[in-house]
Amino acid sequence: MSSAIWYLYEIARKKWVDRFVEAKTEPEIAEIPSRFRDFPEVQKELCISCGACIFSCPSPGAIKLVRDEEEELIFPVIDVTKCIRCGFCVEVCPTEPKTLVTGENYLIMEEYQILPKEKVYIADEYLCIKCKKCVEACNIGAISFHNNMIVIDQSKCVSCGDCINACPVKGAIKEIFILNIDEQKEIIKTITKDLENYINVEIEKMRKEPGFDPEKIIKMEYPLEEFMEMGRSIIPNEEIIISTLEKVTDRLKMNIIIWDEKLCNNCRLCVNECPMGAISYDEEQGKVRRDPRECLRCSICHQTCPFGVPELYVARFLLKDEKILITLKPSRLLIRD
Amino acid sequence: MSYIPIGPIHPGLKEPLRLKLKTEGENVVDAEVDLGYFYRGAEQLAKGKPWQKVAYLTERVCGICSNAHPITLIEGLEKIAEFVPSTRIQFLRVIMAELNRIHSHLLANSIYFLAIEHETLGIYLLNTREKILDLLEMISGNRILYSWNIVGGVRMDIKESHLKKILKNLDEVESEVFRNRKMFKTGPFLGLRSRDIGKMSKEDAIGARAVGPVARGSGVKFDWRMKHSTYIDYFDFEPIYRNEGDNYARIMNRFDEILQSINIIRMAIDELPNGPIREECEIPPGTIDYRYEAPRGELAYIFETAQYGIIRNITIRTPTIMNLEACVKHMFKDSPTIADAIAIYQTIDPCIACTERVIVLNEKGEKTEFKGLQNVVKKYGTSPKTGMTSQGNNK
Amino acid sequence: MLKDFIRKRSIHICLVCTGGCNGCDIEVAALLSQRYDLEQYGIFLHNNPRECDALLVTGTVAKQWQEKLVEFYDKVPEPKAVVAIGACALSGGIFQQEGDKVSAPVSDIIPVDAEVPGCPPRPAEIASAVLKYVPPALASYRRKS
Repeated sequence: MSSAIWYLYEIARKKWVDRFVEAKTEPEIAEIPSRFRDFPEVQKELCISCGACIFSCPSPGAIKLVRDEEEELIFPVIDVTKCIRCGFCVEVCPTEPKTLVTGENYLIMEEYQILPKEKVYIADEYLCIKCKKCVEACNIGAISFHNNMIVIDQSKCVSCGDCINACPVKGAIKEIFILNIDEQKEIIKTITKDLENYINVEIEKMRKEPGFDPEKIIKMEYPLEEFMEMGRSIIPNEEIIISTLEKVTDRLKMNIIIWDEKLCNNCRLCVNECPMGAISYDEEQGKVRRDPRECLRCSICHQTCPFGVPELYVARFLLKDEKILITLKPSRLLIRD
Repeated sequence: MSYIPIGPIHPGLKEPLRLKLKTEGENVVDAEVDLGYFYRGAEQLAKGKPWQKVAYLTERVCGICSNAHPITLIEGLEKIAEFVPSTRIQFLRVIMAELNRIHSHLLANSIYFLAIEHETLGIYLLNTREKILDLLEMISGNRILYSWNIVGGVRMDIKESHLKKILKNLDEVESEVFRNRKMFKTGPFLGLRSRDIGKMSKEDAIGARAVGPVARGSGVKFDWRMKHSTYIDYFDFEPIYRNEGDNYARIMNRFDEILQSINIIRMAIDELPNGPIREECEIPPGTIDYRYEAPRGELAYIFETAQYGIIRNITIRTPTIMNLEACVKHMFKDSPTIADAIAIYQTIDPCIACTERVIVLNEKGEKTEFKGLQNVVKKYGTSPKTGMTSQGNNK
Repeated sequence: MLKDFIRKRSIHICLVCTGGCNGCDIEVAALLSQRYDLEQYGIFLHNNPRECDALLVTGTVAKQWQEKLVEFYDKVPEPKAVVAIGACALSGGIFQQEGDKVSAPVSDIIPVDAEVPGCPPRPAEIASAVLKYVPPALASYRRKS
């Protein structure tokens, strides 16, 4: 009984009655703080279509770049069902003012980018012709010409690829996929090994044919189908394999040494010259032997040999239509008399 | 002897989980736990991704400790880079972490009160929690998933006007927590449902590798904040612990930790130094085993980075998996009724979303590619530090 | 008639979490607090499928849920409505990536009447979506069958 009276006393207070009569929804329910990250708003005309928002988005497929034919604009469109409202796209957007706006994230303007990159762009000093077209093409100002060199500032770069489109020289700006560097190294190792084996086998075949002229240029084709199948087991993405192969074949120059034992007179001049000790004299059989696994392809034996036992060829490569075209040129090195 | 299955969806459980209780009359003799309703494969998805994306992914491992997960990853990455953030960054991180802890503890206690059908207290605490969520939203821009911490600092500063609001709301929260704590301490029926139920001794807690408020409720004096440099240098942190080891101790411990966290935030705001809030930090390749005190206990991140800040391999160990074992092995044995079993289960503050990142598939054609804690330890030769080694020293 | 009238004013909802980050679930739990006070709008939250009118589904559909979610949906008495909450339930969100183990979205498995985007949506958004879309969905469900 006493508790019932206590409850009545509690409820019948004037303050409580007043509150009950004037009950209102608290403003906090509808009030949204200024920092609240809603779905980003897009200001179409500011977009430079660099794709930084797409690279940054942790939820794949939430942002897509769309081309508007009428207005000739390219701008990002946000899929509301996939967007996780993290605001990272707004933070990394490189335009000024920002194309994407949400909460107060668009106020973050750092001097360095923390954009997660799939590719890194590097200027190749050896191939660059210093035309400075990439400096003009870069919308962000990440590329500068400094000390007679093209320098790409990695902390500003958003990996849009405009520089590579503007570059007139193939391979002068390289895009490197950084997510699986070790796998790419493996691909490079296997392709070089495969190419060398292939060339050796093919040349052996050709030499046996009549009418073989060692002074002429030799051409052959390496079909990529088998290699691609093997490559897919290392990296599932075919695009990365092809771009890696392209980078390899653009710069690769291979020295091929063919050892013709028939011409050898066992003079043993080459045995001491070889810096690796790859050439040895077999006393039991009285023959000079070369170990191709130890060979550096330095061509010293080719220059030393008075009989022309080691033939030296320089191989160059070109990737075209799922094939690697190989050109073998006999070397022009002077042979010691 | 009979079996009572509870879950996966049950009014008493807030998250999908299957509990199979073996009972004799009203006494719970044994229990089985069936997990797997929450598996998303967060660790698998994190492999081979840059840290910026992994930070968002770790945040979504658990929505309640969504500050503890990214901060463990980020402080680990900073340790690899040998980067020491400015004092202001450290203080801001402490403020955010403690606000997150208050929100988590309030939610845990409120769910316990809902589980013992004391709805008044449960809903009072939920309402108190809203004030903390307001602060979190004001600072970071989202109520639950903050996306606020970043390698080399924090995204947005806490301004003077924000500090005033924080202090004002904290005063209100403190008075309300004091009132609710008194209600819990003195309420006779609450005491009947809580005291001397679900007891776990200190030895059992250490044996079952319990962590966090569950272990501290059983008299284990350990908290990873004792070993965190910021807390050592600026806050003279001392963990709160109780010796009872029952439901009452665990809930009371959480109430006390809320009050302690409020004091830490006040100290941090008083002494908040000036300085930059974000600095550049590049991440080299390396491996680390980093631990941090999440609201539920020890959180371990063991990971390996490659160049450009890419996460090669990652293993996360969350507190609930150990606490769940402690609950099933030791606490359920001391449950007088089946209704109490659910209450006991809620006192360990289970977070199933945290726990489920690993699944072993035995079906045909599907291999388990999971690289566990053991493999990482084996490969890199780091000494296997299990959660309890440091607690064992404190015995 | 009377049933329809009553049903519009008192919606019983059942929360099903199919494996997300818990964020959406605790936002639904936050609706119970005095500030939002879900019950003043005639919405009652509990976890029993056999008594509810509408399912609130959150989370990416984890492996164990693929069949159980259909079973669960069948247990709800007719008429029924489904509200999918959060980016995970709508599309898989951050967990729908290469090499994932989830079978989001929810709409692939059971019919969904209303969608609440966001990661997580604010409690006010959830409450307004339930109030706005569930009564017409329940009414139209009857016409369909």
